[in-house]
Amino acid sequence: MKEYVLNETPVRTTNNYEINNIKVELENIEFKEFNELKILTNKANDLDKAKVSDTKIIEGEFTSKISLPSNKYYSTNIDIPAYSKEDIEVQILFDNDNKTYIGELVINVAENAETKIKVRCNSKDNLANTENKDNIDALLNLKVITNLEKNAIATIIVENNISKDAKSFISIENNLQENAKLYTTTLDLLGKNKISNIYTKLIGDNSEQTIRNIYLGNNEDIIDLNFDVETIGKKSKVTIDSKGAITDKAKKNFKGTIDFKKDSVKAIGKEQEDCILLSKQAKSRSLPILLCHEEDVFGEHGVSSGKIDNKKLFYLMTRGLDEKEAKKTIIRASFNEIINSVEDEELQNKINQAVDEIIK
Amino acid sequence: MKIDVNQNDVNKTELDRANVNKTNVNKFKDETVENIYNLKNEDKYSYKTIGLTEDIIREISEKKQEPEWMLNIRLKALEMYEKLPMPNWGPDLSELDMSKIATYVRPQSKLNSKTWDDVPDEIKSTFDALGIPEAEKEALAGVGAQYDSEIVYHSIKEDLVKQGVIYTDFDQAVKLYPDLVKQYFMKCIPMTDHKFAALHYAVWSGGSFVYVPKGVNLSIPIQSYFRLNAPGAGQFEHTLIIVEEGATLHFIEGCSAPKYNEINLHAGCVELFVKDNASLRYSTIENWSKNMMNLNSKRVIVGKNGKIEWVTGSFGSKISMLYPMSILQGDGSTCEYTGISFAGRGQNLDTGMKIVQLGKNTSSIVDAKSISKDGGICTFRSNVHVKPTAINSKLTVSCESLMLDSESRSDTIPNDIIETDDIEYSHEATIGKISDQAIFYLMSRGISEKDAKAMIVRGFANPISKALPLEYAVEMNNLINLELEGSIG
Repeated sequence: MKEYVLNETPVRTTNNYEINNIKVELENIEFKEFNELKILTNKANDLDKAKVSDTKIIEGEFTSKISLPSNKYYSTNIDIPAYSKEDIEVQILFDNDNKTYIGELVINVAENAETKIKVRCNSKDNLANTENKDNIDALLNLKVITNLEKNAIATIIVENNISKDAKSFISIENNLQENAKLYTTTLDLLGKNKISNIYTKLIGDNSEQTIRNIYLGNNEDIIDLNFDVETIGKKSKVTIDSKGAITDKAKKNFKGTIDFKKDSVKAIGKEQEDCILLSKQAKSRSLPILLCHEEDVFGEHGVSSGKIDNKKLFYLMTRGLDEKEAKKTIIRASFNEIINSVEDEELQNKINQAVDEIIK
Repeated sequence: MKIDVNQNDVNKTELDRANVNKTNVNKFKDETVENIYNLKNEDKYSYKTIGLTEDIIREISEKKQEPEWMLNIRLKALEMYEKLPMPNWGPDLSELDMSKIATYVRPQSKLNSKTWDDVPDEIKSTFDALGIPEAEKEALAGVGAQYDSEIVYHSIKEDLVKQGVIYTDFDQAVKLYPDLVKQYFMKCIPMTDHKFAALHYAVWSGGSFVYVPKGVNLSIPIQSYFRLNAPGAGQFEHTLIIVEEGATLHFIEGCSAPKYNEINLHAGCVELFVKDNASLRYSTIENWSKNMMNLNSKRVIVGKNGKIEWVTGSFGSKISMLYPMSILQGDGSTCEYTGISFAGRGQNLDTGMKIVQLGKNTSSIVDAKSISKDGGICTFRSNVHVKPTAINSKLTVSCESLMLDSESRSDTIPNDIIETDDIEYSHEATIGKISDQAIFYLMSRGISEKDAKAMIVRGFANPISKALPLEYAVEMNNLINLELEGSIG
């Protein structure tokens, strides 16, 4: 076993709170063959096709903001041509023969293109939603790089829903040019370690990043979320909305940084994180950082943590719901805005099922 | 089409933060503002030590004629200081060279005088200019005045003495009340806490000791004022306050120093004990000179149904690392923190607060504001830890930051650890510039743009000045006015 120090925050705080990074013990990580990466496109129009490269194995250092290293990794490119509109689904499916995936997905969205990309990290059983699911001891070390050219629009949804014992390390890096808009939704639903990082540079004027995140934790899950968005262009905009619920002895770290760089005049940054604590031993840590080197901006953040309001519970139970159903309803309600934004019935059901799972 | 992502960006933000201050110190002329705080007396002393060695510590202890137990603590603290690392977060402290700091400066004055007539004219006139004797006459129940490393004047109203209130300088307390001091000294802030706590315990000198017996309510504040005159010197005062069961106290702390071209250091220590059902308001107006490194430690332990109120205005120092900490140990204990930091040219003020909620039904309210201008850096750090035993607790943290130009920086780095589900907790922060609409509104009422901005800034600071006695609110507003001069319009 080796201890890795991962997912560093952009600025440090006092060491005794153990939030500057996360220490994870892992067995020796080795690159292994993975044969269940599928990319599905809707090539409706022959002229405007997404170009999906063959997946290559790269011999070299795999680096990401999470800093879990490897000296070999898979690499796949997806190019969305200018003025096209493409929906793509990337499936990374784990089973007993495919337990380790280390790789990068590079998504280039050309000028004025629009794309919706779902990255579904599941076990085969989970994707198929079968009754008896294998609890695969999976390892996912994924990097998604998204480059948006001028006026491009992209919606990226990452579903992290492999298995109870899975360890996932998902790093998303984004670069947005003028007027580009990126809507990133991450669903951290299942897994023993759910370590994720989103790093975005709003380079162009009027570029915009919206990050929506749902996280759930039970047993002794560790959730470590590190979102860092830099406003560089004028009138750039960032919104971060993270909602979660943890129970049993689960631990959650939320680190959200909005960094207003100098000359990002009239940039706007808003950040909100809300955590529902469902047990006495669940532990919530939050570090919502606002860094500002530009006068003419507006930034705000808010954080809340606590148990479900007893009054709300009582109200629903007087309407005939038992306590568990009432809790599920309240949690789903708090996630509602993000669930609705997903616009995919299957994924919405998955989120609701995951909520059911943690309210036993 | 692919854009390269700089893989070394992890520490870029830290570099940005370090470079802003260096750039702006070079860019702006180093002005020395002529005001009462910048009055310099000749560097006269009866005894002085420079640097930090075991011999120096033994000398200081011998000069003070301390008991052996205190010397042993100093020596242990020196060992600890040498072992502990510098902090690897926050402002850059590499400019600090302890071998050049005057760790002890004894002024040419009778110590612990009971009348201002016994204080040398030069020193007295400094305190006069700062308004201390005046405040003593009009508004205070007791005053302690420290000049460099020693208390030169101490007074307390007679009727308080009759009620059993003790207010004396800390050196005297060690000799006169050793059992009481031993019971509490270093029990709130251990020397192992961090490197500058260890340094403090090695070279502490001066400071105040306050003991308020059970049930005694002091309706008028007590003040200690710390003035550091010597260039290149350190001030390491120790303040220990015990408010017994059911008692109340308002303690005011003020500090200032004239500006020199060499580094001065402040590594004081404030230990506060608020017992069951007692209440303490601790107000600070800090106006150290802009060559000062202010690495002070403050902490309180609050008992059952006890209350601590912090009111803090930080205006001075070149570099400040200051995070008053409240441990709400007793059930029903509460904390209120109201603070403002104002970072101007060449300043890096890294301030905030820490709260640990241990007892049941505890509650905390934090209202913090910061203003930065002319390249100043303001960083607000709140560190809040709600333990599993803090059932049915409440906690609200609010932080607002105002930037007056784009040369400055304003960062908010709050850290919240929640270990119980039975809590109502919320945190919010905003950052931005003075509202254009507010300026327009005031200008449409005939006020100039410059005055409008100044009014808005003073309004922004209003919650803090409201929490202070009138004389100190006026002083705080004067400090704000001084800071705003030349920066707006």
